[in-house]
Amino acid sequence: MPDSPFCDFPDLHPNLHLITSPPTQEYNCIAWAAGDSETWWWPDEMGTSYWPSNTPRERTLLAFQLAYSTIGYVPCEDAGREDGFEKIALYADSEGPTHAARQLPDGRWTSKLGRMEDIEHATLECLCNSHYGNVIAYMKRQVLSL
Amino acid sequence: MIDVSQISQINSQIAAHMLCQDSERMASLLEQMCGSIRIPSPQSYPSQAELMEFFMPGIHARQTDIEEEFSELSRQWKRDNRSSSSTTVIAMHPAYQRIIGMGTPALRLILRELSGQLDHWFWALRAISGEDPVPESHRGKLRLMAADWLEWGRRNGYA
Repeated sequence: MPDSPFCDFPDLHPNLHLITSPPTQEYNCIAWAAGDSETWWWPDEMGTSYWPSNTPRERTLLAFQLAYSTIGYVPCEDAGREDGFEKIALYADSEGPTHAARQLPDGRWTSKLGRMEDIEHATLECLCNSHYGNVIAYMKRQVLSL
Repeated sequence: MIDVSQISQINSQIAAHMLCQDSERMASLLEQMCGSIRIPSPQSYPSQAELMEFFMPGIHARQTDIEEEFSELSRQWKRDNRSSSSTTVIAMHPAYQRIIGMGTPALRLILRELSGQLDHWFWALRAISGEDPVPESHRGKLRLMAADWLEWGRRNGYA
């Protein structure tokens, strides 16, 4: 399948992921990691995308960490599952952040792939070796118990 | 009364508009211009109908070229950016930049595309038109942004 959308991710083997939504343009990975499926988040200079107010519109790790801090996330050390917390992982290439994934309660991860589908993936590494670059930071927030 | 040099001047204006306007606007302009010419001798100058007949094939051909170019660039752009979340990367793609470079004629094509399928055309619309009808509260909400731009297009004769 040379033109399969998933050929953008050479390490994303079929047994490592599950497609969980149809493709959509309405939200991206940064929004999806934040739990928002109605908005496209990005700190673009033109201001066409949503970005939390009072957060720098720049493609830096700090700007992304500040954006997620507006919804309760704080930096943490690793991707290990912690009871009572949900985590996100930030990917970056040499120019800055590219992608975010959110941890599911069972320790797997969920990602929205640009304008493509949402997927569940077993590891964070299966999206590396692509234009997403590598995981460079983790954040966590307490899960609110109902 | 007009002389040959004035006709030549009008032709230049028409040619200039041919490069940057769509066929409907061009036809309307042509009609307006031809209607304003007071021709001293009907035998020595072309009629409005003859002028229309002379110019319209070129206008239609130009419009078809633009539509084909837009379709091809749009296809390339969508294919190459499907897994990117960065609005900036999406907008900096060479095909997208070429669409911006098409200028005003691309506005109607973008809005037509946007009315059928949501996509990240907002950067191009702002860059080409120099306007921004999207309120702060709609930023990033593509359905609302598309509705704002389509309304802008209707108000300005592009949709």
